[in-house]
Amino acid sequence: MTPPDSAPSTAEPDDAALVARCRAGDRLAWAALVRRYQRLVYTVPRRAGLSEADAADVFQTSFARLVEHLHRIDDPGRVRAWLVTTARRECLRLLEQRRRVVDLAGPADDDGEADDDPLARLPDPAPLPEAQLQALQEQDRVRRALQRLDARSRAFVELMFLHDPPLPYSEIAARLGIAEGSIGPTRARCLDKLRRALCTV
Amino acid sequence: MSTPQDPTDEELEQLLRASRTLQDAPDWLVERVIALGPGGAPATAALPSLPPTAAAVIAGAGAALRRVLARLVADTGSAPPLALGLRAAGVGTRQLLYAADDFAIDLHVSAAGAAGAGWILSGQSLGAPGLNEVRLSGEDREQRVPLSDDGEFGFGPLPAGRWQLTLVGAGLQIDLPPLDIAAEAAPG
Repeated sequence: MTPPDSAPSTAEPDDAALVARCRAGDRLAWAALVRRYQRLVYTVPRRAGLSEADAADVFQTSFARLVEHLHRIDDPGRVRAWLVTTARRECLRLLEQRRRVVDLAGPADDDGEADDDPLARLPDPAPLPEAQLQALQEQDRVRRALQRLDARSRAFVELMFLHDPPLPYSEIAARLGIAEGSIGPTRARCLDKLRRALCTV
Repeated sequence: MSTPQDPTDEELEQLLRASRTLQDAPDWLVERVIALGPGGAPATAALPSLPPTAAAVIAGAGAALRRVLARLVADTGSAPPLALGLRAAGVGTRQLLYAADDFAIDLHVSAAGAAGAGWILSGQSLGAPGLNEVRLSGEDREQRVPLSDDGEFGFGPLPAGRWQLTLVGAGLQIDLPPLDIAAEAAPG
């Protein structure tokens, strides 16, 4: 597909190119690959309900597995899906370990409060169905596309759609130094830029 | 109907709003994973620290050195057991216990003396033999000490900062979670 005129830069190497450079021992390529997918891979265990500590474990193990398998990935262009699948598998492995520990520990004290019940603290045993993983990948993709917009457009989109709780138009206009009446047209322009940027990630 | 490559404005807005729940990995974690990458230092060199949680083995492709990530299992301080590091805000000695493979590492952090004199880091490797050296890195320096016959080691006085302990043996390296010693923590 040919990017439309004035589409955002496509200067960043694609995944297949990064993997090829990683296979050749290029540390800069590896750093770029990790930074490209750090948010996505870290979100997988967090979305599965794992703690920050367990998420860190899943995160580093997933990338360590990638190092191990760099030379054996059939389709380097699908490294994103490979990482997500690996992270999900590591989540399930960790949850299974937790379950065994809880089973061995036996039931909670009868007089213990609900918060003391280790079973109650376990995340969903079957988290992250395929549809949810796919949605995560699309969300991450739109965020990476956002990074390719010019600073002003990016700031607008962030204030408009990423702020939680949402900001009133008057606040967005004040922060960006634009007229409140121009928010509608600006919104349309920025979304169009973002749509084109999506073609490049 | 739109395609994933050609979403409508409404779909883009929904995607953006949904993406608010994505979480960036902590910087220290990203940096450590980058350090694991291909073309890095030889496996026998002092490698960067690794993440701090449940024990896991990183068997790099072709690496002769097995790297084990220790996990914190007990902490006499106020931090929760799975905290990513130690904020040594208390007085006296704080004891932390880590587990990794067949090893347990007992770590103590204590004030070196008068206020501002720094901190002493001491500990002991318990369990299986095989470790022979401890490396402490942080604050732009690295120190190495041999383990005693009883598996004991010590460093200090150390200034406040982030420190990383690594225990090394034949074909094995155990990385402990990073240890943040706060400057404001006055010895008792």
